[in-house]
Amino acid sequence: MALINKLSAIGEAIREKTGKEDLLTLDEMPAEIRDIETGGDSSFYDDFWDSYLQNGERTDYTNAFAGTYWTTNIFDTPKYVLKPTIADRMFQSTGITEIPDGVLDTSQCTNMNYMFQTTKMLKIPIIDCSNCTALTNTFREGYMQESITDIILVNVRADCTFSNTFYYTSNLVNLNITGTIGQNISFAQSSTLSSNSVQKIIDCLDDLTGTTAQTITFHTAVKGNLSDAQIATITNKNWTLA
Amino acid sequence: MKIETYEQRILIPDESHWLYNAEAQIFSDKVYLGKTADASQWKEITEEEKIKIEASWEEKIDLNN
Repeated sequence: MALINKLSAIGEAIREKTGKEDLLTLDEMPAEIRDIETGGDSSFYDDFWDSYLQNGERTDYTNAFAGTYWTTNIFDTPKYVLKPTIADRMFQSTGITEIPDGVLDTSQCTNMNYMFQTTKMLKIPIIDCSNCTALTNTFREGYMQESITDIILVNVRADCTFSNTFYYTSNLVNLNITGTIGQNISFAQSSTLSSNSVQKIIDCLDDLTGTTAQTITFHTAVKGNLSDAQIATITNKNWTLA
Repeated sequence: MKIETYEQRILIPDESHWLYNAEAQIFSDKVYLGKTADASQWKEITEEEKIKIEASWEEKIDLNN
């Protein structure tokens, strides 16, 4: 095949990919080819995340990344910040082991039930509880107990319920919590909870004087290390310590 | 300066028993009651009863999940 024919064939192949009809000079071909490579790779990424995250407008993330077939490689970095209003089972039993900082914004989320149940997460980003009224089974059991040592919960609301939230988070060491705890809460299986974390939890307990007493449960070992002053603070706020 | 005194109510079960709050679904080996908490919400149960109750919780959780 003569060289000119080969070059014509290359030009034709480029026009096929770009959809353009103009003839190309040899000098123009490299730039056209680079544009094809860049456009091809990003269009799949864009198409997938535009569809899955509804062009960034998705708010119901029920089961969105649940299941072991979701891995960190596949999850990579979503095109849009995930802003759930509903995060029920969002990462339940997921194979994703880490969520990069800045990817997840839970500040508008009202429901985080089972959100991280039985995950293999090694690191969980800051969980903003500003609008959350339910943390049922959020961090419970499974692989969590093998890996998660640190959880950050900010802006906890007094009306947020904690049914089995930390059930069998047995390796939890650091719970950095801010806001107000106003409902029954249990850390019964968290035997390695740090003293700093325990104090932060006590500091967050709402003063329930004049209202119905609620109960805070610590692991026996953690409860045994509480000072008389800490116990007095807890019960004086009308919390039962179990 | 003011001096405050208060009564600290502590529930301690008999040996080999546990304290159980059915409404809150909590077991404990020792309970420090809140200022106005209702002591009658806690009752003593045996180890065997505790195991049965925990098993029933697991069943409910599995069914709901």
